[in-house]
Amino acid sequence: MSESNKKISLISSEGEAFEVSEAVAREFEIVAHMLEDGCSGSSIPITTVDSNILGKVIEYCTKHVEVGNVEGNSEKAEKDLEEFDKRFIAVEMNTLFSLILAANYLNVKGLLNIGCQKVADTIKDMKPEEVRSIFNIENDYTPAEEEVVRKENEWAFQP
Amino acid sequence: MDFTELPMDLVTEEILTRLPVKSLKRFMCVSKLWLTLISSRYFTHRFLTVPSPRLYMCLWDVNNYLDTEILSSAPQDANITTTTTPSAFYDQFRELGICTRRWTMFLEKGCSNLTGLLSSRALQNGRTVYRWGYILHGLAWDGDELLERFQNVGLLEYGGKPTLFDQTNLKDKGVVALWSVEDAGSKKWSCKSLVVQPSQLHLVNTITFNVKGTTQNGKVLLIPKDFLFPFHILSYDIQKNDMRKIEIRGMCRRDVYGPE
Repeated sequence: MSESNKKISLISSEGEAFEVSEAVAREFEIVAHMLEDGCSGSSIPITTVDSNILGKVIEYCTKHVEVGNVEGNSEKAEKDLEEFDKRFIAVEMNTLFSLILAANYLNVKGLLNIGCQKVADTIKDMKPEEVRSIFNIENDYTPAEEEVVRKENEWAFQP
Repeated sequence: MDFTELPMDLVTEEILTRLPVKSLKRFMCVSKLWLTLISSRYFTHRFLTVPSPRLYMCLWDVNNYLDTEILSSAPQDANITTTTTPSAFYDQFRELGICTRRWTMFLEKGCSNLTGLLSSRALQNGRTVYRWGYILHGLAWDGDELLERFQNVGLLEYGGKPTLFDQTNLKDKGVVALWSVEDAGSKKWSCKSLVVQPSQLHLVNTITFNVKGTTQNGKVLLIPKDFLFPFHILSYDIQKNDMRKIEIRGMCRRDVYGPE
């Protein structure tokens, strides 16, 4: 049914084509569904993702497909993959958000998971003010209102 | 500079749910919206149901490695799920026949695993011929003669009935045949075909799986025939026809297939 050496072009929002193997393209569940639904074309437009981010997502999927195809028990390979994930996700917040958005849109669950986990780990110990600036949230409390909520949860502000 | 913003549903579903309670309490001060979100019943419910990694354990009998159980801790059910069915369950149904087009199989005592004895009865020139055979590594043999090629057939309990899970056509066609004992008295069997959802076909069309057993909530666990890495098994909900991939970390061959 599926030929493993078939190539598929993914087209970024700028119109740049990325040629990948079908196995890699199938890591994008949205693409896998399109292929199952009989989309026979060999180029698939990914209009909401730019070249920079699409390239990164493809790099992630390619690595995971490669490691997934290795036979035999290798704890080293699993460690390597963890290391790869760690390095891959060590980017500045804006890029991380773009990766999460792309992973969410393309339905690449592994990437969505590690991306969101990275954000959660980063903000876990932050102050509310820092969280506001990361997510671009406007503080709609009056100082008095904020003080009340802060008092109620005072223990959460202690280190 | 471009500022990328995450939609609120992603923030709530995927990020806030990963935070410890202490951070959440502190982040109630972020905005009124966040306060409402974090204190909402929806969110506290969602927070409790995000799947967390589970602990899987594997026990095997050193004298009989086929007698292996995989146990998993299920945090939401707060109990241990086992994947094997006691052979006593099958014993009460032994010597029941199952008819395929060509021949009849009988479950025999001790046939609670992939390698089991069965006898067959085939119609030859209008006469019924009884034969004995056994399933070994997916082939049904009768002495020297190959009776029928099964990629593999597993025995499990389905809806309280002993059921053969025939996945000969799983890899190529995505089809599973379920043969259940309907009435032990009259030796009546029923057959049901399951067709794997197209979006889940990729889970089975490159790897050969064996049936390991069923979980307490009726999902069939399929384990790969050959060890693969990263190791994963499939959980197949045959009621809902829904297949899930479960990745297992830190496994070695011995954990799944017993000592060599």
